Amino acid sequence: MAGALLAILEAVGLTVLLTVVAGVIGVVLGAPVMLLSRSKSAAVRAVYWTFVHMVRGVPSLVWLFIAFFGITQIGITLSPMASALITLSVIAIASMAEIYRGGLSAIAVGQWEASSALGLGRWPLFKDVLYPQLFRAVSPTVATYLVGLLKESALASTIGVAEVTFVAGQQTQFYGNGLLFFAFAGLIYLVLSLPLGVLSRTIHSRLTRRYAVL
Amino acid sequence: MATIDTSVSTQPGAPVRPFLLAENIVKNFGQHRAIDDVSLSVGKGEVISLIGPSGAGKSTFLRCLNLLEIPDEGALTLGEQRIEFAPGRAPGRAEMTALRRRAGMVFQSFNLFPHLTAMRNVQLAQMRVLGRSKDEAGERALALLDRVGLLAKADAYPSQCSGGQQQRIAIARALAMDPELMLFDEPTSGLDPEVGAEILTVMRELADSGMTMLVATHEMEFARQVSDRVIVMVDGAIIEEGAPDQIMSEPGHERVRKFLSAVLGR
Amino acid sequence: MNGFSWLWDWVVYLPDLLPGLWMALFLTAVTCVIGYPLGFALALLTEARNPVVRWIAVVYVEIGRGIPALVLLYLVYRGLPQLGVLLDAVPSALVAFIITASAYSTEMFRSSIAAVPRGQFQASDALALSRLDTFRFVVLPQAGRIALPPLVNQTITIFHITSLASVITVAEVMHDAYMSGAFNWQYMSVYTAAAVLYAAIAIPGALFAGRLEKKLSGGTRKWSNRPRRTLMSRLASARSAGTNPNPTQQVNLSSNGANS
Repeated sequence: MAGALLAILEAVGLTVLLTVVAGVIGVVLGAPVMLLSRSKSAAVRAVYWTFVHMVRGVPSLVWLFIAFFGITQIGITLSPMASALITLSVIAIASMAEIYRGGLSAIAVGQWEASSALGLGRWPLFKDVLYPQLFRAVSPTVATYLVGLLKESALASTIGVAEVTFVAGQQTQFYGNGLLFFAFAGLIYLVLSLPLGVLSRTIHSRLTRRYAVL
Repeated sequence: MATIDTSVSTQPGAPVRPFLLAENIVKNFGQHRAIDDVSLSVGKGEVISLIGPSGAGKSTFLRCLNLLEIPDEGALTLGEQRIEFAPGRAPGRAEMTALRRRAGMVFQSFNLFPHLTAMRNVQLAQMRVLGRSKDEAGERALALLDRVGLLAKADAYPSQCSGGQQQRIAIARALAMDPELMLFDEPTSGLDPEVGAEILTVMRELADSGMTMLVATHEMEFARQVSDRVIVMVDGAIIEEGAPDQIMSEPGHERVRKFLSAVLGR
Repeated sequence: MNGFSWLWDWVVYLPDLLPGLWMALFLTAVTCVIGYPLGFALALLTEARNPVVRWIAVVYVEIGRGIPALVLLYLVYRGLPQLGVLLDAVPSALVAFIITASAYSTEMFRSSIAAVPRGQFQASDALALSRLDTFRFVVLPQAGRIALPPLVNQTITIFHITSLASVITVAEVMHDAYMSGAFNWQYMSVYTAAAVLYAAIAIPGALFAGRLEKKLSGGTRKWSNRPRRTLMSRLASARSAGTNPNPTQQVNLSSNGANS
């Protein structure tokens, strides 16, 4: 029994790996993708909207199955881990882009105007005025999203990635006692989401001190 | 021109039997003492203007009088009802309700219920608090909306009314409870001067009808013409009080002089 | 290998998936009809004066939000039998989804009530309205409006989450797709068909929620003469409240609040 719990605990590595890789890719690539939504070209904006709505309008499980089972029809085979990483990353990019877009529209238009009146260039405007505010505006939402991503990584179990949920199911098949194993898995997710909460609060209080305008 | 009820003494504390009596009111917000040992006695039918710089505690003091803020120390008497305050001891709900239904309040930001029409705004508390029937409350609501010149807006939502109209509806809403005392918390501060004048006209008529009123205001002309007594608050304390003309023309206190010269521009 | 047939032949599989779609809609409807009122009750309980009641409500919400829906699903379907609770697949799915939906909607209802301006409570107090009357006649109608757009988004998320029920053999869209795919070996086509079905409901729903939000927030701006609280200031005040123990309670910038 203890061995089974240990096996579930050892699977935390893959759960964290899935979350961190997809999270970092989303946080980094979400920004340039978001810029598409502010393009002057209507065609580019349409590409953005189609991408975001398609990705978010379809359940993650469906994308995951397309990336794992579906592509075999067109002659591509990916490992479960690769399929899960690609799926979660693409979903994270779309979600982060939307979070950034929401944050940017929350920053008062006056800031843009005031800065251009001061003759600030576009880059200093972004770096010194918009970016700190954007970061501050979205950081709690990003933390929330990363917790969501952590939970979404559980989907990878359905295509056989041996992360926490998968191993909990495996041990249940061997030993029965699904109550204990899945409760333990649930507890792991709860515990893993704690640092993200702490992180976001720390970032927050530090930022509030540094940019204490409110 | 306003008629001033000369039967009310203009001397502080002079009325034989005060209608409203605030004794040594203290209100703290954390470490900050917002109201510092303020006493005030108001006779029935008296109109009092509270003036002073922003942050002086005028609004907080008014809100202490209808227990939107619970004072930490002191006592409040309204007619027969007396409530004593001590830190950490809030008055009971029934006691608060009894006092509040006798004291109407008008806010700087109107605070009308946005999801209800003007008529329903005025009806709601009549029905729920005073137990009036829908028809009775409706009749009263229409009469009061008529009185503030907004009968035509009875079925309009607040969002369909101008700021001045909203404030007049708010006054009708407060009056519908048949209050014995009306508290006005800077009722014109959020409005353009011309629009504020509409509100002041309504208030002047109310004062003429004998309503007991306490008005926190920056409108010096209103304070001078309509009120029986002017009270100057600074840093949570009353530093001067007296007849309007006396305060305006020969203020005793240096800070009052400074404040007046700032607001009156002389 | 017929390289690009999946680009068009998915249409063929749509009829295969329709029974599953009805099941998904049924699961969504039952989950919301039970889960949302439960979430609303929990929102009130998290503010209860009795600390034990409050504590139980908060723990329930944290568990419902913190544990993946998939794990809850397994917990109910494969864990509860140990306690002698043997549920069929569909009731199991409903129990798990209702826990998720109620926990998520609790936060939504709570923040909607918190978003009713303070002046509304003060006006109610000044008019001597009782607590219950203030809640019924003043707070609830306004909070309801505020909660409506996120509630629509939440419902779309629940609709998406029902796709998980396939893992415990509930015959919804993904289950039908898997069966079809296994039979024809045309996985790309069947899952594309599934994606189209989900998107055909979810995307119009999300657009509707967005328009609703715009319309209703335009309304609130007119509701009071105060400057409209921007997201920034709301974030700021949530922060300055300081006691917020859960970062996930902050305003959600993304249009889709919950994640499976």
